[in-house]
Amino acid sequence: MKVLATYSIKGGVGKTSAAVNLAASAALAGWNVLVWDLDPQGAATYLFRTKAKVKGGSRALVSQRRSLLDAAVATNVANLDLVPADFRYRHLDLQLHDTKGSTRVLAELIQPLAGSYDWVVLDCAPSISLVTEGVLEAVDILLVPVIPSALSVRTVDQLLAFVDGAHPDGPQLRRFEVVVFFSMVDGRRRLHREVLAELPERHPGLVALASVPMASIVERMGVERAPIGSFASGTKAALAYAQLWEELQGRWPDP
Amino acid sequence: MGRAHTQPADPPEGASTKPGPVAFTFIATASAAKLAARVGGRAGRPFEVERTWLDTFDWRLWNQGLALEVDRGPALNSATLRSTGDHRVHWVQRDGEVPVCAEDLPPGPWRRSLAGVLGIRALVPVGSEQVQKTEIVCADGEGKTVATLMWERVGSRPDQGQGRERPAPRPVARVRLIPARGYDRTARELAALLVEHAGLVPETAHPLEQAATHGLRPGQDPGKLRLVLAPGMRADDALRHMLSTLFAVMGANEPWLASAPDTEFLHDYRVALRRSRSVLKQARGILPQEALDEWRPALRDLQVRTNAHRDLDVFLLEFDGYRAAVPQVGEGDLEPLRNLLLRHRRVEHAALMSYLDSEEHRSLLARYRAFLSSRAGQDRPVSDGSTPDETRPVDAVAAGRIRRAHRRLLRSGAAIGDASPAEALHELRISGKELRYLLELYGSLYDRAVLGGVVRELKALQDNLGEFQDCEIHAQRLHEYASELRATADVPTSSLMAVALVAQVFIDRQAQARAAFAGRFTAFASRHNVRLLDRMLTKGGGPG
Ligand SMILES: Nc1ncnc2c1ncn2[C@@H]1O[C@H](COP(=O)(O)OP(=O)(O)O)[C@@H](O)[C@H]1O
Ligand SMILES: [Mg+2]
Repeated sequence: MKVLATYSIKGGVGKTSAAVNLAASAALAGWNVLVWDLDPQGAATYLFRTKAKVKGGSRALVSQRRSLLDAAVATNVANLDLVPADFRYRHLDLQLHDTKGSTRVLAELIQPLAGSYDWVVLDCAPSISLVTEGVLEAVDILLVPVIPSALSVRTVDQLLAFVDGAHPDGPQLRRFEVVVFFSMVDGRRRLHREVLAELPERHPGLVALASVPMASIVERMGVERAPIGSFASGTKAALAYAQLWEELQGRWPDP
Repeated sequence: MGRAHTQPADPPEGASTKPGPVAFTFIATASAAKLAARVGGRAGRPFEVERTWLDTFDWRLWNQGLALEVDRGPALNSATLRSTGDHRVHWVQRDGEVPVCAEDLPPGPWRRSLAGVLGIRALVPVGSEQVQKTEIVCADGEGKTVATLMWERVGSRPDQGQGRERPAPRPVARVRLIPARGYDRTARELAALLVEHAGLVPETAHPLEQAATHGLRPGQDPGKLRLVLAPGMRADDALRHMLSTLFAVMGANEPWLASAPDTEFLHDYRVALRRSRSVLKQARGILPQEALDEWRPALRDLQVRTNAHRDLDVFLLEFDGYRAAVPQVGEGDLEPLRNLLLRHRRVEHAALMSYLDSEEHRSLLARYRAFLSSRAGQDRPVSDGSTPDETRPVDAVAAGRIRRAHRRLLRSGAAIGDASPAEALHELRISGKELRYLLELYGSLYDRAVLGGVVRELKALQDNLGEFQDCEIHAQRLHEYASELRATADVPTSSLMAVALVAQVFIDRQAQARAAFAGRFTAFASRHNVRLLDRMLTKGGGPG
């Protein structure tokens, strides 16, 4: 089992879109996939046409009275289950505060899923919090969408400083890998093209080859309430997500 | 050479991971549209698929409670792994290639759930049906699927039901209720509704029981001998029955020898052939002498034609073991040897196939079949005088033959000492095989538990003798191959050295087997064990 989280300090950069579409690609390949919607806003939950509610709320999970497996429900995508968001997650941070060894809680909740799922995808809320720290303890792959801009390089540097800073042992001992991909790319803009060339040079091996173009079909997911592959599979954006998945699958062929 | 030293299949790792919620199957008379209306679901357009179940020829998936279903249609290709008991879905894969061998399994769900189960056997089609599917989706207010009903009208295929009773009439339609995780209650309610108000009947048999092809039956290894003899049966009837059963095993495997999805088809074919020869060898006085004079050499010739092929199969199966045994040998140094083996096997395979395809072989089979179905007083004249024992009861005959073979084995084994030549051990192995086959063939006449004990001790002895001989053959062949490689211009010295090192491994192993022989034989010849056999033969006891 591999745990992947889409993460960024910023909102609206394409985390949820990536989480949903990559999870769907993995499920299509036959892997058993679980998406855990950790954002109280519940965008992923909405896209999977599921009601945002976990029985007993986040407290039942944090206190480990309830397992994630109990909380999982099927989606309309074969092999893909979801732990829905819950508005009460907004208290998750406080609840973690009250719990001993709080940052390990998420990892401990996820660990028993190993016999049941091959990929667990966490869709995170944009924040730096105890939840984030918990996510960093739980993941194998931190997938970071970056919109090309003059500030992209700085954003990535900050992010690396943050995730490595959270690990007192330093980056070498960080137990997860960071993968950055470009999101909402507008190929007509020179700035975008420049940043696309510059960042991989500065951080070799960090940036995925596939990048996701700016495309209204991605927004359409909110209307269709389904992963892009199930209503617009041939489109450029759909192919971009599929390629991104292929890259990840190539790096982690045996989750 | 014996069966390759391959590990038995591990329990299916991951096969039990996250099975979906329990699914239900029903037999329905209602149309898809009616059913959809009844459950408030939406019926899609009907579509045709050609469904194939894949398993190993000896049903390794089925025996682990799994069924792998591949649907191919113009609009859709999918592979689904389900539990046979409760129809839970383990995974579904769309539009993927269907792999065949454990080593071809791509990383992913296939490998995770199947590699440990397949072992050395390949996936082959074991059943098929033509299905018209209509998907009925039951969704909640958000448009989220909470259960799917798959309405399937099944058409039979011409190659089914071969060689056994007429299949039962097919259901009008099969309905599979596939619940969604987290909606188990909905599914249970739906199942109750279907039974109580839509007149559906839960399906008790697995669809594959109807859909099995090639004369297969789910869970029954066609390579395995299933022989039941009744005490008191005429000896000649019993022997003909044995030979026919063995001939059927050969017949089940022979069509697969050409494509050879794995090596076990030939192996099982050969075992049945060897057992048949053993029956014939013991048939003097029971079956007509003239038939024995014809069939003993004929089956021997057939066996000989398969020997080299099987030896090469074993070599190749064990190839990875060689490499592990000589860690000092460089990566790739043994590749020239592997290529040589593959080349030889291709030649042997072609030769065997062209023989099996020949008029000579076909007419041999036809005559043998006729011989097996003939019976004294019916298709041929009453005894020509060569068969005084033909009407004796089989249990009396069996006990005598088993005793004789056992005594011979004890006598020759006791005569073997440290100075005995290798041939003496080879001879002993053949005597042991003889006894082993007799015990297997007549086994159904005796108490199963006692028989098991006797066979176990014998098997331990045979394994030792088999190891001794296999190692000798390996070492000898490797020397031959080495000289063949030496004659090939572009083979580097490091490869020749590597082959010599592997040969040495076998020479050492053979010496170890030799050292272990005395202990094994003493255990086999122990008074306790001898008494066990004696008691078994006097008591009889049937399949208990
Ligand atoms: N590649 C894209 N092209 C166009 N719109 C996009 C793209 N990716 C995301 N969006 C839209 O941007 C908004 C925010 O995306 P989302 O994936 O929810 O980001 P996050 O999870 O980071 O907040 C959504 O309305 C989404 O449909
Ligand atoms: Mg989001």
